[in-house]
Amino acid sequence: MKRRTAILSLGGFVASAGAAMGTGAFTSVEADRQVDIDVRDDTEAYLALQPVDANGDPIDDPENGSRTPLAQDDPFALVNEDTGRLDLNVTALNVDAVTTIPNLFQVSNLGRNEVDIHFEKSFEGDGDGNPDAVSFYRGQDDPETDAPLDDENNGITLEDGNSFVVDLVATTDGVTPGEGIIDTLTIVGVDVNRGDNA
Amino acid sequence: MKRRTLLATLGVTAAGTAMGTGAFTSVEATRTVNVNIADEDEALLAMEPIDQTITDDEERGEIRLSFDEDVGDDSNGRGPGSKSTYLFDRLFRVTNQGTQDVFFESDFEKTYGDQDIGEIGFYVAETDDSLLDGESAVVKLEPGQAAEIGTLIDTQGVDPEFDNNEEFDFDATITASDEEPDDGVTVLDNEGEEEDDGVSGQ
Repeated sequence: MKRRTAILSLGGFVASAGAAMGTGAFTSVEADRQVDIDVRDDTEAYLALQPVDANGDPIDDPENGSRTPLAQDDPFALVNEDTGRLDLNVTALNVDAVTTIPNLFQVSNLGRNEVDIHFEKSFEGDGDGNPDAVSFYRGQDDPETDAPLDDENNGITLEDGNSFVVDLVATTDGVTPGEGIIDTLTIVGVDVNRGDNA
Repeated sequence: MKRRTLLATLGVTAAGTAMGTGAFTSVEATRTVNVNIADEDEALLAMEPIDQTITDDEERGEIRLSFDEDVGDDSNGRGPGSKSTYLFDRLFRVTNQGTQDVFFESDFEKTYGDQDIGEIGFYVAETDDSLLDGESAVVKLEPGQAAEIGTLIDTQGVDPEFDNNEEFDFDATITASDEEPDDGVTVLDNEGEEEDDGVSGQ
């Protein structure tokens, strides 16, 4: 409600600025207007990211995290209580193996427009890491026939109000224990009408 | 300087008006993700040697089974003989350290070059009549459960022309999946006992 008020008053400012330009010269005007920016936790953002349970349903207490395997200290996914951001942990992969972690987290479009979504993965630590060892898929997709979300040629369109769960597939052939794999995941959503130049 | 401020403000205004509330043009959210490999004995599917003579884990990297001279005595036993069936109980331990029940099976290469190398398979505990090949049997492991896996080597079918002293290496592919096995596949528990829920098709 407050947000709508702020935008309406800004709209009024456009009109009055236009009028001022036409009728007289002025050197400068400085007009302060209120802009409300309300940063939300990942679970409530326009592009919402939520930990889910083994069935792919959002969990009640995201800060407490989703399921934790015995091999790990931390849950697969949780919302960091300090930053409000989703953290992911898959820290006990077998060597020389293909591991699938289904239902890692959920992406929801809580905005009001249709967006194209793709993922970008990278390793920012020392060395090159092994970003190719990890891929992310929509839960309903088949890794054998469908392209991963992190394939730059693959974007999926998500209508407002819709969501999908994300599976992780790791292939650790040729990766040495102790080598980094990835440490950063960027989720990109762009309005479908904007093209792919964002 | 002040003009620039004004233009910037107008920019914000235009965007807000055009898009309306709750629509966003683009978002790029960068998140931390920790993805790492664990030692073999601490991984999601943990595997560790029981019989240190046959099974080693290359400094906790990857288990390997060696049926060679180390098994027998120095003068004679240097590997499985021909036309024989050997059983090696409880060579290594596999533990489900994941979050859901999994069914364990393994698939072996049954040939070496163009040679048939006979039957080889894993079994649980002492249930050597049900090889864990995913077709006759699998072991069900609940989170936290461990099974002790042995190996059957049957050289009955080996080509008699096969060089008796040849040493060969091949891989076993181990699969632990939460997918229910097909009907007719015997589901064993981690002690090698058949489950009595009808899944086994007995």
